[in-house]
Amino acid sequence: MIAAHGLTARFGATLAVDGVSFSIAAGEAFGIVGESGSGKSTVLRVIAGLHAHWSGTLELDGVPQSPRRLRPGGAAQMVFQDPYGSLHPRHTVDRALAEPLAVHGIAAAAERIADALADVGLAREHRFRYPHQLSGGQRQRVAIARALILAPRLVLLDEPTSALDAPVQAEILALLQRLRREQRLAYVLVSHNLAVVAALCERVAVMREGRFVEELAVADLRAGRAEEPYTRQLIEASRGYRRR
Amino acid sequence: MTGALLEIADLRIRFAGAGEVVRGVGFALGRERLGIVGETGSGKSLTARAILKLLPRGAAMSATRLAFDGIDLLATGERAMRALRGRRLGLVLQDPRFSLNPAMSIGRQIEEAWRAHRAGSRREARDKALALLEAVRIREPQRVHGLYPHQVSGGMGQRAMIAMMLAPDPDLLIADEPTSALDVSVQGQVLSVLDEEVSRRGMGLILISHDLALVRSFCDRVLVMRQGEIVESCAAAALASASHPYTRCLLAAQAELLA
Repeated sequence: MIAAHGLTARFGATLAVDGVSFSIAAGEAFGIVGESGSGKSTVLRVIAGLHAHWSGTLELDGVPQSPRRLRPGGAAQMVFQDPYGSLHPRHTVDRALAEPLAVHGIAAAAERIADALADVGLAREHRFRYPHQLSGGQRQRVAIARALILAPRLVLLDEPTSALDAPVQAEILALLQRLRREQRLAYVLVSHNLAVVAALCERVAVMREGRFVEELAVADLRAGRAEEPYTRQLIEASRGYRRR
Repeated sequence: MTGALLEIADLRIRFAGAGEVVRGVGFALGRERLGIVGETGSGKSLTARAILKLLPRGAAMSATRLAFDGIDLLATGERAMRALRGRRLGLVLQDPRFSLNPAMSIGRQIEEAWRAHRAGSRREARDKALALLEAVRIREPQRVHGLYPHQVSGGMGQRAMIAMMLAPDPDLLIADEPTSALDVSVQGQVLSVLDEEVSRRGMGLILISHDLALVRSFCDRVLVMRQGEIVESCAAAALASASHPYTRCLLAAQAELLA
């Protein structure tokens, strides 16, 4: 699904991603965890074709990509952290969902919109509402529906729950788990939160200062079986303070 | 509740247009560690700022009781509040890059914090600053004393900030997300400095954080805030048997990792 080798990305003179390599199989959920500024979101933006200043090799579905011509096309879709910022405030839910269909020239839009809303657990009456008439969780459901309406096989998730209230976070995580199972999706999930990554992924890369310091199975993460001191620090911090 | 370091009853904070954002908060604090945990917008930081009467412009506050060591803060004017802030009530904020003065060396800032509240010579202030830098485990206090905030790391800056707040020997320290802007590799160190100094000095501490795991492991008692209200108040050790659905949800989110 994705094969990246020596992926490097810059913002001007700043090296945000420094020679990262990984591969993700179809249907797999891969997490990238790290602190702010580690470069984790930039990796996602490169894959999504939203950041053109990169080098290295990147294959999506076996097709080599170049910074000038990156075509994730209908195969990859992205969900952002903040549903308040990622939906147009003056477009109804219906319009937000119709647009990707129109862009890709897909017919029978009305039916697909109804199905997509049902898939993410929204009711028919939500369809003609504006974002400000929805709760944060409902907005994130719309953002997920918009990503899924083109039937992608890969969904890129950038901190999809961190702008939400704890009970709503749990609902969205459950929704993402169910959708992945039902639609056989592959995920790349970026988060600073180990618990979110553990809930959704099988494999995780720990990122720091633009590099992957360690890649491990989520089962090992849960059990605290990490090789790198930095990974252990992350795990320890997530468990609270230990008095010495 | 006589003898409490801090007493708050029915604290309300409202913003014109936004309505009430802190809705009837009340608690008492002794010389203990109290954690206030909640998500963005829960009102936890505003509650802390209300104790110092440092609310943002446009915020209106009321309470039936707001007292620090028996002093009625509601009846205390700005001049007297300034004497309390720093001297008896310290505040450590999230990001040392924004709370330290960028144009003054770290040592001078600590000296100034001490001299603002204590009578003493420059020499004494300098000795005190060096001792404080050592207390917060800065290895070369002499060298760091002369450095400016941009020349030190986030973790060192935050320890300097703590040193500055400890300089006048306050009775109560309020730490608002003191480690969340720091790299995880230094968070533990900053916390253990805070831990040691609070114990050694027998101060009261209010630790404000969105991180339930941190608060329950660091504090004696925990308040859980949501949408401007306290939904749970219990001993940190009793948190596992907390009953409120919201608290249960926060606990479940954390347990995800250990499942």
